[in-house]
Amino acid sequence: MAELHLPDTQIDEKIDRLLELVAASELSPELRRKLNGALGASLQPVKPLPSVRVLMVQFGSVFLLFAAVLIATMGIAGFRTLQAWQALGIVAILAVGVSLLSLALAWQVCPGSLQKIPPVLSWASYGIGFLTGAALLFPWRQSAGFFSQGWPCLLIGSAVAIPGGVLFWLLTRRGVPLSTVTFGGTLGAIAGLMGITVLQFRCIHQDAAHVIVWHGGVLLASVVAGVLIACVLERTVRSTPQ
Amino acid sequence: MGYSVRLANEAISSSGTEDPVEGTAPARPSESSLRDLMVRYQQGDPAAVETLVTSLSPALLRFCWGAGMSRSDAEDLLQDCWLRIHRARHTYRSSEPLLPWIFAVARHTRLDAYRRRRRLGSREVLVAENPEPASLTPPPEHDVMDLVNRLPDGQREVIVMLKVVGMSLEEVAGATSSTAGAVKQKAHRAYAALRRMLAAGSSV
Repeated sequence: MAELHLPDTQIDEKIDRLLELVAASELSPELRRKLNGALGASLQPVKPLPSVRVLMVQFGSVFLLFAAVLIATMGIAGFRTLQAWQALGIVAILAVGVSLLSLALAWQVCPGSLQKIPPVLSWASYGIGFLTGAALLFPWRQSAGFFSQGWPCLLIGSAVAIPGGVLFWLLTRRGVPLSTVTFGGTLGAIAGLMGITVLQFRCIHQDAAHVIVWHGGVLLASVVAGVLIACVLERTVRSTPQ
Repeated sequence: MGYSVRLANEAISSSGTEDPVEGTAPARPSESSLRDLMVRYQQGDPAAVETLVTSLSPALLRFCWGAGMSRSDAEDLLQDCWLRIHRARHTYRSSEPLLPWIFAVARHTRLDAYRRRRRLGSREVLVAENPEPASLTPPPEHDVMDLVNRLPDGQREVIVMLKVVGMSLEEVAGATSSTAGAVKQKAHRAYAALRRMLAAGSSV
C-alpha cells in the first residue's frame, strides 16, 4: 500500500480533494417552503447597527459622560493629592481601559466581528496593566488602616459599578451577543472600570497597596459578578423547555 | 478495502506543496451578491429571503449535521439557525462579509443546541439500554464527512467552514470569534488527525 508512505503534503491534497467533493446537503422543497414561510411572516424592514468603530466611540462617550457626572457629584479630593506625572499616568491608564473595553464590547454585540483581541485577554491584560501601573505610579506606604480605609472604597466602587453595568447593558440591548458569559464578563469589566475611575478621583488614600487591592478589587469583583450573572441567566434560559 | 486505498484511487494525483489550510475552495455565490441579498433582506424583500435560504441552506445544513445526528435533527437545527439569523438580521452591516456573520450565528445555535441536549440528557433517568449508536450513522467508508465528524468539535467546524463552505481564514476567524492564527492551528491539527485516521483505516 504505497499511499501509506506518501509525504504529508500529498495526503493533505487528497483530503482536500475529497472534502471538495462533499455533496451539499440539498433541502427538501417542503423544508424550503417552511423556512420561507416562517421568515416571510415577520419580514419588517430593520435598521442596521452602526459599525464597530462607531459603537466603540458611542460606548466611550457614554462612559466619559457618566463618569464625569459621578466625579462631579462625588468630588476630586483624591486627584488633588497627586503629582502631575501621577495624574497624567493614571488618566492614561484609565483612557486605555475605556478604549479597550469599549472595543471589546462593540465586537461582542456584532456577530461575525474579527476580534483581534479575545475578550478574556482584554479583561486580563487590562487588569494586569492597571495593577502594574498602580505599582509603578504610587508610593508604597505602611498604613495602619489598610482594611478600615479599604472596605469603604470597595463598597463605593461596587456601588458605582452596578448602575454602570445596567447602563451599558441598556446601551447594548440592540446588539446580539452570541456568548452570554463573555459578554457578561466584558460588561462587568467596563462597569468595574467605571468604579475605579470614580475612586481614582475621589479617594485620598493614593498609595500602591490600597489602589491595587481595594480599587483593583472593584474590577475583579465586577468581572466575577458579570460572569456569574451571565452563567445563571444562561442556565435559566437553557433549562426552559422550548 | 482500506480507506486510504480508495482515497488514492479517487483523488487526482498531484505533488503540489501548497499549504493544505490555504487550499482551493469550492464554488459559492459571490460575496457581493450575498451582501446585496442580505441588505435587501434587511429592507424586507421576500424574494431576497428566498434566494438567501436557497443558496446558503445547503452549506448551513452540512455545518449543522454533526456526528450521531439524524437528518431530521440537522433540519430542526437549520430551522433554529434561520430563526436566529432572522432575529439578529439588524446586526449585519453591509460593509462586512456576510458568511462570517451567518456562520457565527449558526455556530452558536449549534453550541446552544448541544448544551441543551447535554443538560436535558443529564436529567433523564436511564430505564433501558441505549440503542446501538452505530444505527444512527452510516459506516465510516461512506463519506469523508464521517471522518471529519470524528474530529473534536472546534476542529470539525473549522474544516467544514474552510473546505466544505469555502470560507477564508479571516472569515472563519470572524465566525468563531478567534484569530486567523488560531484557525490555522486548528486546521493543521485537524489535518494531522485526519491523516492518522486514514492511516489507521488503511491498516484494517
